[in-house]
Amino acid sequence: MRPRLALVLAVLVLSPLVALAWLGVRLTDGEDRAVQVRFDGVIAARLDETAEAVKRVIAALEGDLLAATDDLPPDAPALRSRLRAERRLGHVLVFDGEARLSFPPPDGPLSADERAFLERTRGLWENRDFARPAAGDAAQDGGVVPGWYIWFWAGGLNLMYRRPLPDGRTVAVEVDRPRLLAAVIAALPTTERAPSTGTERLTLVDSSGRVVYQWGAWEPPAGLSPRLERALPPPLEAWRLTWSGPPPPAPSMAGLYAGLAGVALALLGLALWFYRASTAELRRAARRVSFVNQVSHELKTPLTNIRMYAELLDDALWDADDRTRRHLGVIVDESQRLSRLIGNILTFARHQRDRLTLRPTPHRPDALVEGVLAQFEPAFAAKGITIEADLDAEHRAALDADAVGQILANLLGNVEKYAADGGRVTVSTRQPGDTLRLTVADAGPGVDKAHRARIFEPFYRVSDRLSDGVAGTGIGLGIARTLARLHGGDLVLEPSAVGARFTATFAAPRAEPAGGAAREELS
Amino acid sequence: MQSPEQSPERSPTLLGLAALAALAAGCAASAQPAHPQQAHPQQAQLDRPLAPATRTARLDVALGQPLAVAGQKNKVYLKVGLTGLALEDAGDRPPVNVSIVLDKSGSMGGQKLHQAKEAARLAVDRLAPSDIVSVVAYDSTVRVVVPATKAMDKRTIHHGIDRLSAGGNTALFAGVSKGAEELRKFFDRNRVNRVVLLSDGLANVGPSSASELARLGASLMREGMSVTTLGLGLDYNEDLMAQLARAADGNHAFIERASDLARFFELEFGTVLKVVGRNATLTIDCAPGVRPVRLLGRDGDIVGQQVVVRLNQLYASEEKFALLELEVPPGELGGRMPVARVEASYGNLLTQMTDRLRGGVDIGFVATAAEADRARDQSVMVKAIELVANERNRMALMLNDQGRTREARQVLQDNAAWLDDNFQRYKAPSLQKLKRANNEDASNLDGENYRRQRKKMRKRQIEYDMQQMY
Repeated sequence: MRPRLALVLAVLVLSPLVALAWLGVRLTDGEDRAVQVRFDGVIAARLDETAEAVKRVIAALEGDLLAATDDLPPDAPALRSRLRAERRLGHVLVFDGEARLSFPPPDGPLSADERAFLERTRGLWENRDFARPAAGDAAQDGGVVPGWYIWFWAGGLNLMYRRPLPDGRTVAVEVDRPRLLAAVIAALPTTERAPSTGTERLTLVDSSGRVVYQWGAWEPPAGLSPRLERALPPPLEAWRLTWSGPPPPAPSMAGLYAGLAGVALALLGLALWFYRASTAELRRAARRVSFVNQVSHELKTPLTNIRMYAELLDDALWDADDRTRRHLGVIVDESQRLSRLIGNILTFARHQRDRLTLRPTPHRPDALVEGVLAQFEPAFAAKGITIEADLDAEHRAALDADAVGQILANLLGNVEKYAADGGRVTVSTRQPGDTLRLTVADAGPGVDKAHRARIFEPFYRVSDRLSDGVAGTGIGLGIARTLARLHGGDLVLEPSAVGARFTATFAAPRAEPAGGAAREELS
Repeated sequence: MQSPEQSPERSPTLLGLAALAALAAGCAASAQPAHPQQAHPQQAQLDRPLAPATRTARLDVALGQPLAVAGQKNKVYLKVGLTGLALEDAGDRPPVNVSIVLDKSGSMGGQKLHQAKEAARLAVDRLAPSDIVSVVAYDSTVRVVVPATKAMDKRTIHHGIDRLSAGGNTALFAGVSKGAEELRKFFDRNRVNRVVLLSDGLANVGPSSASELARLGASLMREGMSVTTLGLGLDYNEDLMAQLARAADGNHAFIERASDLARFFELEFGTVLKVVGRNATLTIDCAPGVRPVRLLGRDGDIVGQQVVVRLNQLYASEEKFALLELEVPPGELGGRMPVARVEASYGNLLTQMTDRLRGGVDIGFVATAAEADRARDQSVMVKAIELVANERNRMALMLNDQGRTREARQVLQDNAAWLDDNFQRYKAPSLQKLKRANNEDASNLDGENYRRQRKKMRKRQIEYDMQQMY
């Protein structure tokens, strides 16, 4: 009873807690995802902004190159001195109107530097399409329009800015990679001292995956891949900007935990209160049982005396007048009934305290049954109930005489109480092997179907017109079944055409035929 | 630079002082062809004090061999030097815009960074309030510690420097780029715009090869900035640092001990405060028949008969020069032949004008080699010998890098012997010093010693090639 209560209470406490925790986690999870999305949005904006800054650098560079190449002198010496004086230009390739290289003059005198430049750009200027002037709609016929030309050489991206000149020539300006890098780096932020920059690391990675530049004080652990990436605008689309940093702080779980703890505490308090209340009830019931038990004990001795003296008196007054004898009979019957009642209460109490044990000793079953029947005879006779005994259990077997007697008495008591109208009761015994079967069948109203399952429960009393006004404790059948089961058998209500038919079975190992009987006689 | 020893065999009769003095004055009138020159720059200066009204650099054009043997091709050295004018007083100097770029990577921790900070503070103290300074520090990333600002509130600048602490990798390219960006904030062509980079380790974040850094340096130089590289300890990449400084016309130094940092910052800022000219360019047009063979030391463009060399910045009272090897066609005995005409141009930071100086040189022909040898210009020859020896030294380094240590040692020993011969002839102490240096190189080509010696060699090579002041 108590462990079950504790289990129920635990379930009552835990299930809402688990449900709440689950809900809370789901909520936090959702919140966390929302935070992540917002966070990514902020980073994306940062990266876009940075890419925009790089775009501005490139636009400025383009502007510089356009301005610096607007009026390139025609001949090589003048071009050379212009290039020397012009800080915005590096090496250039100039092509004439037929897309032939005119500077640096491939067959004229060259400086060592120019020769090296021609050598590494040979693939470009030998290709006539590289500087084919546009005729008409430039975009359509694939001629040169002002713009970037990318080629990969010396382990990285190299840039040329190509444009047709107003005089029909085409010029391609080499943009030195380190120069471009330095210009891009100059436009990007630095790591400042503010502690807030300790939460991120932005990195510019070139086409071969090398770090070109990075800022932000956060040091990403080795092997961590960036959270977000962006390609740079053309012509640096092979480069990437990456953002790494610690994940955003998860939404605080403190509130959730506090709430859960509060609810858990309240539930626990409630459960404790219920537990204490219900155990108080149990304690009260236990006290009541123990009180009744004590009282019954107190009653047992005087009642035994009353019975003994009433029976003695009955023997002594064998010749008294009928009226006296009838009065005596009533005293004997009632004291026997009371004695059974007290026996039931004591048995029930012992059962409640798990101290009900049986002590089987060798008995002849029919003798036990006959003894009980003899007790009931006068009362049954008074009520007009005839007893039909069909006894066939002659072999001595290990039986607890008190238990068998109590069971039979309870069954007969019920017949007396509820089935007196039937006018007869059949008691039969059978002893197949090591079992004893005892059947009590009456011709009364029987047990309604609805109650059959519950008549063995303690304190359950079938309440209908028939039993109304009949006194009873409601423990008789329960005690009887408990005793039968303790005795290795059972007590069942068997289906029958009329009345109620109870069959009790007992495990009754037969005793040795001869010696056992002698001892029984002696005891 | 010390004044050349008087050579006993110098012919006292041939004095082209007038022409030289005219060149020194730098006026356009000096375009007249020069006569056989027995150049004596120092003496010329003594004889004719600088005209106070003309605040320009001085152009010296001289041949190592003013006389050549008639009737045969002759190999001669042509030296074209520009000497920045002397600053009369310290307050006179052009304003500077300098960005100190400090390596604060993990390896700089402890005493190194402490000394570097101290050195930077002392350097900042030398600046005048009108100068502009910025401090950039880099490890894996870059921080602008002191954004470009007038050097007035030095306490704030010191405070910024003091807060540096070491840790992280070496994003050298980014550090220099950001230093340059700080210079751009107050960029003025009439200031001395310089990045002073200190590093003790290998660049390992961003572009990290010597050639990439050199190209960055070249790009910055075109923009009008120079980069000085100070290598600290034995772990930096001397090729990278030397090439960067060379391409960006800055100084390069090998600082073995952190305790010397303050001295080198002092030296560097000393040179920064002496810059008087920028964008100095020499255009040398060789006379018909004269073939420019190669430039010694400096890089330049040789296209046909024309040689263009950038000297870039000029320092007060310091000479920067180009040395050109020429092949002169056979001449007639007793005759003269023009060799080259020179035009020098530079931005004068004091007058904020572009000055142009012109000069030229011709050569005479004599009968015997002995006669020609006696006429040799000692100062030009010494410089030429230094540069040739320097080139051989570079060659030895390359050989040793390839594991050909024996050959490298032989080259260095031969070099030292050759320098000694020339020392016996010209008595120039600089040759003896260089001889000793080559011997030292020769005996330190292995193992741990080479790591140090290689840095010394790189430093010396750039020092001689580019006429660095320290």
